[in-house]
Amino acid sequence: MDLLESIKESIIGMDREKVVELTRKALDEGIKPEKLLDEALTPGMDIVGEEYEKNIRFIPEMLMSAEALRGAMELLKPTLTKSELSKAGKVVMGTVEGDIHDIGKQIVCMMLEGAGFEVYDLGIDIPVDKFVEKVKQEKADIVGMSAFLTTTGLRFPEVVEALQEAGIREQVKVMIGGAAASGEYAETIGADGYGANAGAAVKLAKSFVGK
Amino acid sequence: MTKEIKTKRPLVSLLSTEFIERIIEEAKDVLEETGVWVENEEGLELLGNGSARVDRGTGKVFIPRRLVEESLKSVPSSIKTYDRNGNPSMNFDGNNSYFCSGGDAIKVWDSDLGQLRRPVTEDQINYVKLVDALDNIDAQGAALVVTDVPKEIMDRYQIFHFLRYSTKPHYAGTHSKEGFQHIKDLLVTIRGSDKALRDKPLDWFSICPSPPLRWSDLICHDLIRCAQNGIPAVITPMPLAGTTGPITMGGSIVQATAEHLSGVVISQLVSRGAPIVWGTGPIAFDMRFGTTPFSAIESIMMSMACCEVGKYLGIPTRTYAGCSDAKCPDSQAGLETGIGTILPALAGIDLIINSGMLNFESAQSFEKLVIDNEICGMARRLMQGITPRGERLAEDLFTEGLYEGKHFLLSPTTMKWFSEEFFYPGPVISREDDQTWMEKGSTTAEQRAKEEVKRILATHEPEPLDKDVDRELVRIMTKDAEKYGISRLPLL
Repeated sequence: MDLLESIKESIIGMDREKVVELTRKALDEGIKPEKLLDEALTPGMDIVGEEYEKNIRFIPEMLMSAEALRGAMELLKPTLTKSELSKAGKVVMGTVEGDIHDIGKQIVCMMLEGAGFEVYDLGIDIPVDKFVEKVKQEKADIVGMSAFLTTTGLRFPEVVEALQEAGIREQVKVMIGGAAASGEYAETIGADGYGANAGAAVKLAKSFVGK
Repeated sequence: MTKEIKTKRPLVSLLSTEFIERIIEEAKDVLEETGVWVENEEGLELLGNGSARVDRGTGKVFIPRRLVEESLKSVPSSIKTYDRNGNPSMNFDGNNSYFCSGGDAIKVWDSDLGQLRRPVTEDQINYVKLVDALDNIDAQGAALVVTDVPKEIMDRYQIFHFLRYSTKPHYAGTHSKEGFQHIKDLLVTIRGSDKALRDKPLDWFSICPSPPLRWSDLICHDLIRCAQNGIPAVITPMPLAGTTGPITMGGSIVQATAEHLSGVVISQLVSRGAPIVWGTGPIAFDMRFGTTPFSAIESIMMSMACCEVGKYLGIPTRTYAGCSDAKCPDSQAGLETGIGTILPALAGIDLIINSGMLNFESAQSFEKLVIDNEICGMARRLMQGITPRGERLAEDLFTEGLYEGKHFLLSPTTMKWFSEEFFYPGPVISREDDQTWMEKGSTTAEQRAKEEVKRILATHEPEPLDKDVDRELVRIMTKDAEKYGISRLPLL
């Protein structure tokens, strides 16, 4: 099998070790990192994403593939330019202040990485300012917020307003998720979209960056 | 090395040993003092020659407890069934509960019309194909009584379709004395010989005494033929508490036990070691409507208790509790079937039948069958219990360097066990988030079931039967039908 094809298969096969080994070999053979991304790693993850959407693949299996991709990306990082690294776009993620629910957001982060985004996960219990600051600093394309509690869901509009005040609302898309969020609520507070589940969040993010 | 802990098979019990023994003793009293009516000449002769006292004037037979005890000794404690290809299928041996669809329904729920209607051959074939496709339904019940062929051939017509469109084992009952030989001819065509059929049972017979305490000519005849041919006989007493059986649960269970035991005696007098299934017990009678609710909690309780008696005697057991008395696949159907499937599974009953059935066991629903398939899947998972896995149960709590120390999604143990440890139902059971559910059309379980029925019937292709064997089955069935004025059977 062709080396690029083998890397793609190993991504699909969730084999981090093999992906790393083959990626190293490919780089040694002089294959360009961009080619590796475009013809092996990304197409592999695309298939993984499709299979997840069709319920053929379950969450742990998808994340294992994302983890294999992460292994390859570590090798590619030094050789890729900044724009190539975050080809799909930059996303700032966090659970809003007063809320410590984490797992859903973490899954979204891992899946976004798998889809080629550069993800800055701020963590949990994140105050409004921190979101704004990070978006500014990284010139992020997307900010994703998560809240589980109805009470903490009220932080969403505060972040939207703060982005506005900082004059960067137009540069960044805002997406919300978690039990406190809904499509309707996203509209009401002037967010750009709602991801009902991890797969939907990734789709939404892709649509924001025109993918 | 930690000591290995065995997985506990969850089991519930309704009766104390003391109570079970009292039921059995009283049932023996019934057989000795009250006796059973036997309307079949062969049966009367067998019993008379076997030390029972036969009163020719009344047709009553008084069975001494010694004969009962002697007969019980030779009943096999396990039965293996085999599929159409002769591969092992179900093994009734202790607490391996299996699931089976129901039988002889005179109506089918038509979800397009929104009503119960009379079924035709096409329904029969589709139902058999659907059962064949469903993962958690192990065997075929006698499905439907269709209206487009003469009723005289119905019993073998059902078998004919099982054999042509499914590899799963099945149960049947005759509708007339001549039915037995016809059914056997079809079965022997598959197996190749009488002996092969005896060695590898593919079908078993429902043998229903008429309560109270009566063996009709036909049923006694079938019981004898089963014993002669090594075909498992599922003895199915169904006293209706307060009408054809005593009103108390204990009383009706005694009667059912007496009916069972008399069946055991007849069968073992024909052939020691003939396979018997202890096929459940009394049904509640609703004193308001005059109906026989199979899904009454008391029906389920009596069925479980009766099977507990059978288990105590070391005989494989069966219940028909896996159905509902609702008239369409609605909420009532779901909740009753859930209860009627889970509880018997917890009682360790070997065979739980009637998935897909509605309306006091008189109607089938394709949609309900697909819903019930998921209920059976859950019940199956429940029966497997909780297995202690790994050197340390919570291995991941002791492993350093898990993904950012925050979750276990990328842990090798998660990968190893997530699919085996949990049952993932669907597409009937919805576990998506509400948004996704709305995007998919905000469907109800019944609507999803309907889609799934369509999908399966459009895509499932049952394993084809050997061409020569198939031709022979068609020849036998056609010849049989010709006698009743039908020259061409539907859809042939």
